[in-house]
Amino acid sequence: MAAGIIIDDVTKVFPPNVVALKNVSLKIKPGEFFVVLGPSGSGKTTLLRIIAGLEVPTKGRVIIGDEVVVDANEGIYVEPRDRNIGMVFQNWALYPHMTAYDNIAFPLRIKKLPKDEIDKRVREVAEALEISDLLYRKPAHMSGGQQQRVAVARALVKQPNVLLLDEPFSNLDARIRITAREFVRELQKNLGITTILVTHDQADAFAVGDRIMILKSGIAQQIGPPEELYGKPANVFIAGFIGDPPMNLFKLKIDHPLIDTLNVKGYITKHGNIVYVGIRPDEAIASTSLENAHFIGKVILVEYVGSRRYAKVNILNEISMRVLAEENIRDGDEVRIYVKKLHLFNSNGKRICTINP
Amino acid sequence: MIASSLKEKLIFLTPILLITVILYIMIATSIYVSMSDWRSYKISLNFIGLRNYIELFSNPRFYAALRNNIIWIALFMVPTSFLGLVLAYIMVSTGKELIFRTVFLLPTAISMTVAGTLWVWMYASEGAVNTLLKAFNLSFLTKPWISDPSTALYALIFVTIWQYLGFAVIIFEAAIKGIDPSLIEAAQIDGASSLRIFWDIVVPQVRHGFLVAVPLLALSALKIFDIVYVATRGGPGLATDVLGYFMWETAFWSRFMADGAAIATIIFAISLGIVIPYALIALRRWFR
Repeated sequence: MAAGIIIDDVTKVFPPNVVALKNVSLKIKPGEFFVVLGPSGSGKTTLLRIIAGLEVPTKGRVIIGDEVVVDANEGIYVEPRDRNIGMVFQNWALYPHMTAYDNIAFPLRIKKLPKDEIDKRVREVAEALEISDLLYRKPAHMSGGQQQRVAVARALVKQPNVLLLDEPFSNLDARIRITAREFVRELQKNLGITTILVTHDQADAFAVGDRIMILKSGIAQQIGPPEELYGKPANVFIAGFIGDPPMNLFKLKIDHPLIDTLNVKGYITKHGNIVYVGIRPDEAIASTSLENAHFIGKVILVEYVGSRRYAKVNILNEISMRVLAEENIRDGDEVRIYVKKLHLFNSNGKRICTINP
Repeated sequence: MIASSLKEKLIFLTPILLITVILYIMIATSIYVSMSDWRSYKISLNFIGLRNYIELFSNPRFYAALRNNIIWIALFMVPTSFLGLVLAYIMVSTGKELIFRTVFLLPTAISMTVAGTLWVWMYASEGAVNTLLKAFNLSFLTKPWISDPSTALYALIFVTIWQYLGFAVIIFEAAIKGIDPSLIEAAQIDGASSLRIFWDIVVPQVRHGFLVAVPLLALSALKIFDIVYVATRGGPGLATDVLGYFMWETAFWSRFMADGAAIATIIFAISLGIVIPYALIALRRWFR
């Protein structure tokens, strides 16, 4: 039975005065695949541990389903074992002296289920995770991907209401990561279990998340589906963090020629003297022949990211930006650049609007 | 330069090599003396083969002492290492390490001779132990602990457990701290109680702690001398006689150097029986 989760104004301070989380609030829907995304030190693992019960918030409360599992003000605290959650740790935390079978059976044996029931459930979950032939191996004799699936099996075998994943893909090499992401996403959709995944890798977040919350220094920056975070980033931090290659961001005075050329002065007049202009490399293109180009520039460098070709170009003498490049473009070429979309942020870094110039 | 590096290695190795060589020369000399006829203040090194050993093996005192050492190893090793593990677990999981460490390391820090003297007073008929028992209305349990042949050995074994607990606690504290905390957390989320975590997670993970503690404790039990010397001199009768004390008395009191050397060699041989398997296991793990 999937459960929703409510994080209600949670703050966590580690002594002496390290603020890990500040007034974080969110509601996770039952069956949702929710991702908490943020750089190192953003507080995302702390948040996950508070939901699990391994840490206690300084202020605020957490509700899983209908039950208040922790309330800092009322002094309520439910032990991790009573929260009916499954958790997969970053290093998987498999018991090294036990076989995969014993690892997965461990939570059921604690619940004192009958032996044949335990066997049935272990085999079922092993089948679902395609590790049936690994059941009698010890963790040391398995690959990273296999260990991860055993860890997921152990978390799922007690049929929890909530599944917590702490950077589950960071210990996997690049190729396995892609299969693992798909695997986890499919599994989650089939089981319909409310899942929270914590990661610093935005590619992971975008691959699996229904909704993503971006955390920075313990403060929630934005919560929304991937498209929203990508297309309408709430501040320059998010804009620069999401997207690969990263967004071109320019901090300019409002009388800068770039602003005139792009014809956006009208949008920014009420927002102070400094403005941030953001252009995603995928939302601008360099071509040798373009009718409605905004700029003329010179190519400094051509590079590939994945299957796409980008050019780093110099425009207006002092600004260099990365844009999509047509096939025939080479280093040193003079090119015409067309900007499809741009994002404007005020002097505090907060989003003003997104426009197609 | 490879040549000078070799020279440096030799310079650093020489002291250890020197000490090891001297050590083995001394052991070899001892073994030779054990097969000589040196039985007085005057040195006499005529080779007489294994005669001293044959006499030793027909001496009932040898078997009494050996039996006491075996009992000592059995009753001392197991409680000390196990109690050490339990205490270390409590210490680490409650976080009260400073208090625990102080309390349990103090006995280890004092010499065995001092410990022995302390406990002789405590074990006296009107000493601390009996007084405490009387205070708890347990007068029927009071005994002349170290003058009664049936209790003397066990009274002394208890003192060595008391003294070596700190040593075991330290070893297991290190072993427990080597356990990945996420294993404990995963077990908590899986629903395990503290006791369960102890048995199913901690104990299997500290196996290497036992590998260190057990041989060292066994060797200590084999070398017991000070406490017997200070407390009972091997008495009453032969109740607390151990090989170490037997050897000292034979060699340095009766001045039967050769026979003393024979006992020493026997102790050495038994120690090999403990050390060699330990070394083999440890080396096997290292090279796996």
